[in-house]
Amino acid sequence: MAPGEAVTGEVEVTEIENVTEDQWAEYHKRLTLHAGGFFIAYGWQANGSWAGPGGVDPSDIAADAILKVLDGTRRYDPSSGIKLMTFLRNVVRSLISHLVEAADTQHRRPMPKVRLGGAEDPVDMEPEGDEPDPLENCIKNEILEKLKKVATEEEDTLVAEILECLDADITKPVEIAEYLNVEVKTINNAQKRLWRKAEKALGQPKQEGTS
Amino acid sequence: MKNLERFDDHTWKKFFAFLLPDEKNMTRHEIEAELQHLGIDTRPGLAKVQQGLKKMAAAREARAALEAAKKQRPSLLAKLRDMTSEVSSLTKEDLRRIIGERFSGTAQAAFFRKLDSAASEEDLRSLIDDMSKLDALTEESDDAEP
Repeated sequence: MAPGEAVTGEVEVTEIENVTEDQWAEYHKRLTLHAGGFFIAYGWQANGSWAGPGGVDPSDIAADAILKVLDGTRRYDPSSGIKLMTFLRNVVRSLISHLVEAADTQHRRPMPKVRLGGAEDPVDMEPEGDEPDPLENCIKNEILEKLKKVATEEEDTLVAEILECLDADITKPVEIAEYLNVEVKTINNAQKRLWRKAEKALGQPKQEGTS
Repeated sequence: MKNLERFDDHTWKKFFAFLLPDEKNMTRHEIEAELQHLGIDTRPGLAKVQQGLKKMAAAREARAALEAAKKQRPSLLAKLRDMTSEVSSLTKEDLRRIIGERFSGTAQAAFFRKLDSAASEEDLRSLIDDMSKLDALTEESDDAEP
C-alpha cells in the first residue's frame, strides 16, 4: 500500500500468513490509536507519558494483541468471516479489560466490547441489547468534567445541537449532519476542532519523537 | 441559550466517544499524525511486532524443513530395503558411504565394524537389514517429538 493512500482500516478476511510486514506495521499503528482512546478515557498517564497499570502504553497493548494472534494464543479463524482488524481490535479491548480488572480502579465492570464510533463492527462484536458502550462506561469523572468545561466555553451553538443529537442516539456524523441540515464537513470540522481543545484541557502527555 | 447542564453524564460520555478520533475512518497518514499529536511513540511496540514476525517466519521455515525431511525419509528407507534384495550389486564401498552419510556415533562405528568383518553375501544382507531397522526406529522417534 502506498504511503498516505486512503484506507478504511477494515482489512479483509485473510490468513495471518498472508499479511505483509508493512501491513502489520499499519495495523499496529491503528490498534495503538484504538487503545489510546481508552488511555485518554481513563486518564492513564504518568511522568509526561502514557502509562497504564504496570507501565504499559497504548503501543504495548497493540503489540501484545498482534503477538497473541501471531503465536496463536488468540487464534484468528478467517472462516469465521470476521475481518482481521476487527478481531485485533477485540483483542485490544480484551487486554485493556484485563488491565482494568487487575488495577484497583473505581471502574470495576468488565469491558468486553467497545466501539470508538464510526464504522459498524460485525454483529457479534456489537454491544448487546442495552449494554452501554464500554468506552463510555470507562470514562473517568475527572475527564468528563474537563470535557464539559471545554464544551461550555465553546461559543458555537453547534456543540449544543450535537449534544442534542447524541442525546437522541444520533451518533454518526452523517446522521447528525442530516438531522441538523448542515454539511457533513461542518460536523467533521467541529469534531476535529473540539477534540483539539479537549486534548489540551485533558492534559495529554507529550513525548519526543513519536510514531 | 445553550444550557448544556440539561444533558446528563450518559450524553456527555457519548460526546467524548464522538470526539475521539476513530482510526477506522482515517488514512495511515492521518493516524500517524494523530499518534504524533497525542505523543504516542509506536516504535518500541513495533519493534516487538517485528521480532514476533521473525520468530513466526523462523518457526514456519523449521516446519517446512521438517516436512521436507519427512518426505525424504520413505525414499531413503525404500532405498535401503531395495538394497537388501540387490545386495549382490552393492560393493563394500557403497555400503561404507551409506553408513557414513546416514549414521553417526556408536551406531556408525558398529556398522563399520560389521562391514569390515563381513565375509559373505549373507553377512552383508544382515548388515543392511540392521541398518534398515535402525533407520526405521530413528524415524519413529523423530516423529514422536513435538
